[in-house]
Amino acid sequence: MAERNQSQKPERWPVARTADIAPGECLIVSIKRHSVGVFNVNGEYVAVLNVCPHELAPVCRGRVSGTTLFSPPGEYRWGRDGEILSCPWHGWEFDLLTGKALTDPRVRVRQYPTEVLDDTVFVVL
Amino acid sequence: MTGPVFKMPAAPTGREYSSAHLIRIVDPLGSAIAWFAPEIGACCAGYAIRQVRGTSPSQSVWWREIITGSAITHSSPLSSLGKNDDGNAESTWRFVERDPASCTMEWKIGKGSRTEHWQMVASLADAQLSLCLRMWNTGATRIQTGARLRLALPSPPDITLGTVSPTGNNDPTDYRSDTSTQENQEERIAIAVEAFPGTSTTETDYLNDKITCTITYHQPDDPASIIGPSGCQCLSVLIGLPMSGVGIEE
Repeated sequence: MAERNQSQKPERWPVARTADIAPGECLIVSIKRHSVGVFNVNGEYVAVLNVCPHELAPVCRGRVSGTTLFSPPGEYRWGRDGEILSCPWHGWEFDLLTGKALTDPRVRVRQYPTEVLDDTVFVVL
Repeated sequence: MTGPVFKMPAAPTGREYSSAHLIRIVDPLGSAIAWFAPEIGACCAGYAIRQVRGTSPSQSVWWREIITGSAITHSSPLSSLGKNDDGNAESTWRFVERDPASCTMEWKIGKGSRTEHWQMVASLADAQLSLCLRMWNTGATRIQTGARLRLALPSPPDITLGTVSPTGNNDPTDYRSDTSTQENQEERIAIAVEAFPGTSTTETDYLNDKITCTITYHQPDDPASIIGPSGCQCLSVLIGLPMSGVGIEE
């Protein structure tokens, strides 16, 4: 049991060159058999477990877009392009920067830390 | 690569028609699943591990139940104080947050200078279930508590995993009192007890190659069952099967 726990110590995994993931795009990789989506959110790299908390769909296959912002009655404002991930199965939307669902912030996707060193994107898992 | 599509049981055995709201968490690899019911004392309503019989392509998949229920009990006098700060006649556990592989529930009891804050964090990784129960004294006076976490395993054999409770002598082996009666059971339990740095550590094996359980109890300074102002106790349990017994779809 103890040996098994020690093997779970997080490690840094190189997953892509920064140029490989354009803003608004996602690269799905396998790290220690975990399916992880690596997103370029307007220059910030975000790693997300490819499992939706709703019905366990491969959430990282979903569309990345924006959302409507707070606005006066009768006025619709669009913003946050490239920051919102929509699950392909049921449309649940998640803020990629926080992982939280837009409709219920108590529910979130699982995120992993990322680092960028010498144009290489690393995921810590 | 497109990603996994997990095929999981819809509900824990025996709770298919339960009206209680269950929170489901899954192992990131799809090799285990667990359910929790905040409104029923943050209990674990079920925990099962994916098993594979045979070799591909004729292999069959089944889910082995590891836990069928759990209960958190305590001896805090604060629970009988009546209305708490938020005006509820009786406070209960509430759901705080979750992601696919973990969930957090909490309970605030008492009022004024005598309050406690309990938190249960459950998570799945490598098919192991981790339960971490923390208790804070957020009031101004010392309080007596006595957290116990009881886990029920499926039958047969119909056994209950050791009662975990502070005994006051800081001997971690005292937390395995119930296991001594299980030696003749077909399916024995292995419990390894360890403590955080700075406290004594004891490990014990119970001749078991199936379910394993690690219990950690952390209590920094005060005697067992007493938490001073701003003090905290932590009780954590890690339970699962040895890695070789877990079937993971490639």
